[in-house]
Amino acid sequence: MIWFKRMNKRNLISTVIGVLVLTLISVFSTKSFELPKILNLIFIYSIAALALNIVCGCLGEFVLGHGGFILIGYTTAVLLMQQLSKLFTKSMGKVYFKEMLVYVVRGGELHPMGYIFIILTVIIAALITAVIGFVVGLIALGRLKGDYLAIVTLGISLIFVNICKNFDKLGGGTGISITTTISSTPLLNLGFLVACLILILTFMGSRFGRNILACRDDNIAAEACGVPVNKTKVIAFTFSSLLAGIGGALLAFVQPQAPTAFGQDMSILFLIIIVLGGLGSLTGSIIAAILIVLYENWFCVQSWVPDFFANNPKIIYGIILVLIMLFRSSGILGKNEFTWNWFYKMFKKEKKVEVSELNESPIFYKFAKLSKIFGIIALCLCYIPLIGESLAVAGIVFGSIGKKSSNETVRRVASKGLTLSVISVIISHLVIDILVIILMQ
Amino acid sequence: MNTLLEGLKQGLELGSIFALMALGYSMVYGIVKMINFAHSEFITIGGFLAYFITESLLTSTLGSSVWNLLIALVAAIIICVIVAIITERFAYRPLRKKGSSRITALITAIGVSYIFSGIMNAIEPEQLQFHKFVDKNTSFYIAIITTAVLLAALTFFVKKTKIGIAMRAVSENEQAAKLMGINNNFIISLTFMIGSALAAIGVVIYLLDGECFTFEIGSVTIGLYPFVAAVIGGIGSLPGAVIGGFLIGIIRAITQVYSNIGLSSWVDTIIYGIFVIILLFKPSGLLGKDVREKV
Amino acid sequence: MANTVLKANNITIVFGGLKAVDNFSIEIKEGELVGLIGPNGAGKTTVFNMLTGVYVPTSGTVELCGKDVTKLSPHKRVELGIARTFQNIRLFKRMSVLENVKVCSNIHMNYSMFDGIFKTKKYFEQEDRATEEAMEILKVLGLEEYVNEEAQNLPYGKQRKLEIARALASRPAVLCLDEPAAGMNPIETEELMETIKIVREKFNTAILLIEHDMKLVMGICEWIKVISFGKEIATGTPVEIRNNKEVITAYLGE
Repeated sequence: MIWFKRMNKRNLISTVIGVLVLTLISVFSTKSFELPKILNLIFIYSIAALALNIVCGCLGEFVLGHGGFILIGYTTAVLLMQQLSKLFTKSMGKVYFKEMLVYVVRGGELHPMGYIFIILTVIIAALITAVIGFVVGLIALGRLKGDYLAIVTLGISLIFVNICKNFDKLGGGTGISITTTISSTPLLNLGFLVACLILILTFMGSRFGRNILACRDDNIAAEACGVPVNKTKVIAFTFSSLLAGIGGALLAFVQPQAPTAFGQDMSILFLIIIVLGGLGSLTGSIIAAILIVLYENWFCVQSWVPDFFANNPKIIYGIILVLIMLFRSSGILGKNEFTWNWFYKMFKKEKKVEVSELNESPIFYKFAKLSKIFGIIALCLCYIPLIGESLAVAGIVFGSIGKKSSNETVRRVASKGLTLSVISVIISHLVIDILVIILMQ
Repeated sequence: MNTLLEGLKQGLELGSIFALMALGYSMVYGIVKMINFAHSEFITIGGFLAYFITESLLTSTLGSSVWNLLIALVAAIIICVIVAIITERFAYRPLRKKGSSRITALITAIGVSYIFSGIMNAIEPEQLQFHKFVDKNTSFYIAIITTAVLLAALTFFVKKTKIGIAMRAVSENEQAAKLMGINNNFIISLTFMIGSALAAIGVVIYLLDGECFTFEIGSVTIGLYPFVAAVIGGIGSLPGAVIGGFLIGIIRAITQVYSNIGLSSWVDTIIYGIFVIILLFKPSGLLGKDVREKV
Repeated sequence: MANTVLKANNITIVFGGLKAVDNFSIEIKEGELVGLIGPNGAGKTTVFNMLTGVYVPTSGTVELCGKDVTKLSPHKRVELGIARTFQNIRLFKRMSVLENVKVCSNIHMNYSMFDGIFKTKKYFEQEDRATEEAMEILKVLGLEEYVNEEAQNLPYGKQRKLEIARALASRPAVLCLDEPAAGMNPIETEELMETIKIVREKFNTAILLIEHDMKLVMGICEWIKVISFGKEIATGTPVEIRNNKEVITAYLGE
């Protein structure tokens, strides 16, 4: 266990605590009605977005046909599960099988055998998707690049959709689903997300990942440094379709979808997610996936939100895309990652700024410091309604004033306060909602 | 029901309409190296303006005369051009100024297209029917002749006129062209204008013989086909766009002819399959130039 | 007698109707420092591209450490022992300096994808060795303080050095430098000369140098080849080349 020794203990503990909290939320969420769906979608969208980010962000090739691979994962998972279900029904009798797999939404638990079935199905479906991705990559990646590759992958994904649409067994017009027989739990999806994340991190940390990053920055130099460029691209593409397959297969156990739903719009949705989060930033993709899922499934259904938002997601997405591209083309996190170091640095003390150093009134510095203090307090109190929020809002206001300063240290302090406040606003809204939902049930 | 010959004829008509739209895609790509996803929205806007104008003019003294159609066409072109200029000015130009990457440009184009189609979705009308100005036969001739004339005119414009040469210079090397005193912003705007005007003309010809349509005409009914046509022909090449347009149009019409054996539901697979195969053998399209990076 | 590491036999390449390089031959022995000079557009970089595999010559063969590599792709040749730098710097801009160097060490690693994903002992052994080696190279080139800096943030001269460091990480038998002094001022060029000398001593590699800067080439190369319009016009020691009539006319005109 060399890797264990090398890990930063603080980060390891933070990560374990984070995952534990998510696990608890996932387990208890099954008591509510809407929450499991939201969590499931968050986890699945994160996996699929990470998959796309490997090709678009890490490899730097542009793919517009991501939906097609998710579709393959979805369809194979449904088909496999149908076969499995037939097999077991035959050998054990219908009643027993149904009892074993049934998942009661409210307060129910999935039978351990059900977990094993789903995991097996998902893995096989993902492998099949990876094989198809490998073939597509082998054909397309060696010869095409840039916009042409994007369009060809879009074309290929539309072919997949068309084929599935034309065979009723593969989906037809309405789609095939398995959710009436068996559906998965947020816990399982969380497990897959964590597994995928670890897989991606270790993979990108190995020589293969280094090759992929080298290809992103400069194909010709990579070739001259002994990187087999075409092979690397195919590996990355296959890896990406493997993860897309996992995402699609998991989706099969959560939400019935028609093949046409996996067309251009889904591909673009995932593109929006990774661009919003920052191309190449894994944690950024996850944050953006959370935002998009929450927007569609939580924000839009709130009673105080005008119907306009729910009915016209396209306008909102379009505006988001254009604004991001115009004003922060690197996305929320840019190419940075959310790391614990970054997180803990937020609380560290900055070097004190002497008033004499400032070539402006010290009011900015005061506001910046206030913003940070408010942000920290808000983060600590975010689970208390109103107080946490109002503190955070104050932190945001002070932070934005402090950001106007001409002194760099002051600006840094202000942006820390701003970030902390924004985080606590988000957490306070979410956590309160989740707590209310769980406690009310 | 339909014979193969009729299918071919229909394919030629459809093909020339696709060709007109493909020319727009192709010219814009050639000059700013960006897939203008909003092009399909220009098509929708053009179609709808033409519809509303013809409908309101039908009750006037003009009635269903050719003048009605011409006025509608000109109005649709003008509005499309204005929309294109606004789009270019406020979404694409700031990006160019910042020297953003091509992915950024592509995503912005998708965003703009989403905004337009979202707005039109929000208006949400039912299916509409364009006034039947001419019969199928006439519209066939109109489509073919318009495409031929416009292709010839465009080729002449790009190859021979001063602005056309400036256009080619900008597409070769924007910075160098700028240094040589070419107003590249004007040239790029002009290209967008021409592209959207062609989109408007294309959609009006498409609707001419009393076609039914919805707000999804640009993004779903016609969809990506003109764009695929432009890529097949070699993006940036004018005759290439027309060849691609005819190819796609004919394939689509022929699959319609054989709908009794279920071919029409495979139209996407066939078209995209051919598209992928052509690109694999000719990575820059049938008439496109292959550019290799220099070491 | 030292072994031949790189040998080109009568390589010719034709672009369209133009013979860019005509019947060019060169033989480089272990540890030699060879210069390749010629006026602008003489075909120096084209020769380079054929030696490193970017172009395949129309006729003739290229041998690397005794193996025929004429048709091998660039990355395969790197494995056999040739490394290069670029005239216009081509670093992996958004990767750190250390990672840039380690990309080139990848060819000496053979752990499988399984090892990489599950971080087995083999993974750590090989990665650690690569890191150590990279640090050593960076130290020799005086880049150790920039280890975690992004490559694009380095000053120009350091970027040039990083390119050389990167090339060295593949442990080449022959290192090809494509105009390493391009865009450098005289002081930086002087420094570069020192670097090249140190590199040659420490890493025991043959060096093929393409250069415009006469002072640099004359100062450090053991022997020099001159080409003009794709044809070889002279070979010899710096002193011989300096006094060669043909070379002087090629550079200065009639």
